[in-house]
Amino acid sequence: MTDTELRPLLERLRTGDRDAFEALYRELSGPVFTVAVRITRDRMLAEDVLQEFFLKLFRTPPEPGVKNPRAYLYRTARNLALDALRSRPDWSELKEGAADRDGPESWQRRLDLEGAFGVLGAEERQIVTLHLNGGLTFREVAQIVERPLGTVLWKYRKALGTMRNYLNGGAT
Amino acid sequence: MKTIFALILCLALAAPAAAAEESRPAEYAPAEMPEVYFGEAPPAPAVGEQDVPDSRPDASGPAGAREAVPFANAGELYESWYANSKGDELSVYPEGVCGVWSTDGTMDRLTIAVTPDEAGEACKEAILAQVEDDSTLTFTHQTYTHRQLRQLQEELTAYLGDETGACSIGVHEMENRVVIGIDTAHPGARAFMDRCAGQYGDMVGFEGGKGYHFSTALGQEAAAGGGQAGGGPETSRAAWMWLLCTAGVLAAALALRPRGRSAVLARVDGGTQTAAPLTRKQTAQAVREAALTPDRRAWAEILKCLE
Repeated sequence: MTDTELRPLLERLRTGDRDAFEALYRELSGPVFTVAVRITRDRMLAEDVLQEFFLKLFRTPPEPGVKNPRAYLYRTARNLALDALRSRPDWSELKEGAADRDGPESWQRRLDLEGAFGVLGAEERQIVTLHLNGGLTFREVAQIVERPLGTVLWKYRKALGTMRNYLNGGAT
Repeated sequence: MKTIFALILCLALAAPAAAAEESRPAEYAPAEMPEVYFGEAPPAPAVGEQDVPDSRPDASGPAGAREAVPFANAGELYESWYANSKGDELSVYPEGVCGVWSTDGTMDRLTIAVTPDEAGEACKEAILAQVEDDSTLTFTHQTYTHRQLRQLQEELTAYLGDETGACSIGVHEMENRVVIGIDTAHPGARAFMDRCAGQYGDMVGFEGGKGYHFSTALGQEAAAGGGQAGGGPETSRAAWMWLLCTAGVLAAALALRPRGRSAVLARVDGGTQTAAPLTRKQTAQAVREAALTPDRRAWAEILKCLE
């Protein structure tokens, strides 16, 4: 969803429009949930984050003056996920992948992919997910993770290389 | 087949000898080379001293202001540099790039030379991050950036005159230097070459040149773009000879190049074919497709909280 498509929905949301809220949920729930899972490595925790995100969105939608509402929303999702992660007693990064329990036909592939995510650092997971699943540009991702653009580009490429090696069974 | 290409190569190598027999224009009158030939020296090569911005170059061109968008291959990235140069007359390449040339004769696979320092490394990483198929890129190190060489070329061009015997000037990206075509029979050529060597070291090289020399009277207008100073029948014939030479060398190189490097193929192990290894591009696609979805009850829970 682009900023152009998002702005009218947010405008309506400020008036309490439930239809706009539902439309936003349909568009954003998947990517936001994916970001939350990648950061927290815990599906149940990610569902809590998802709920908190949308409740916050409904109660305090972004102001009209926000230049890049899409990046703003993903930054919010990321921060909520990080807060949730830190609230865990054992919040240090989990190395093992969190399997997707949906059970689609790509079950095995998703296990491998989650395993591949598991070997990445927290910031790398955020960068890859925000760009590939959130659809954000690298410049927007750099603003959210508060890193220089070049650093984000470098980490993104390194992360993809690491995941590729993992999925290839350790071969380069 | 190899015999045919060897013959072409021999013909091509014989072409410069034929061209060398041409004589200078009868009206040519060598002038005394001035005592102080160069005015202000061009800036010394500043490897490692070039501007390294806080955020790494995003490989979008000298202006560096547009969004970073992955390109399919090296060729697309290269085209974007030209498309986004915004009229930069010196160089369309990002800072840190020394030169770019084709790896295999096509524009899809490129070799990019960068400086052997932190800026060059950052430039390389930024470039790689923007190309989906990074197998189309090969990197190497060179000393001088393309911008430095172009700057030197521009300043040298302003000084080339009747006294030098210079016929052409340009940046040779593979050799990482400014190359001046020079008529070595010109009485001022030797002194000019020595002075260049002393002042610019390996930033400047020379090659045999024929045809009309740079002329102070002409004002070096024709040399502003870095090409040859002027044209004429002798220059045209020399150009054709060099074209034949280059074509012959390329043809021989293509015919005789070592074969064996191939694209990634499926591994065959004891008769059982295994899957080809994933590329970064395929990995990225897998991540896109593997977006997760929350439980269906999540929406109902949210609505319940809002009541």
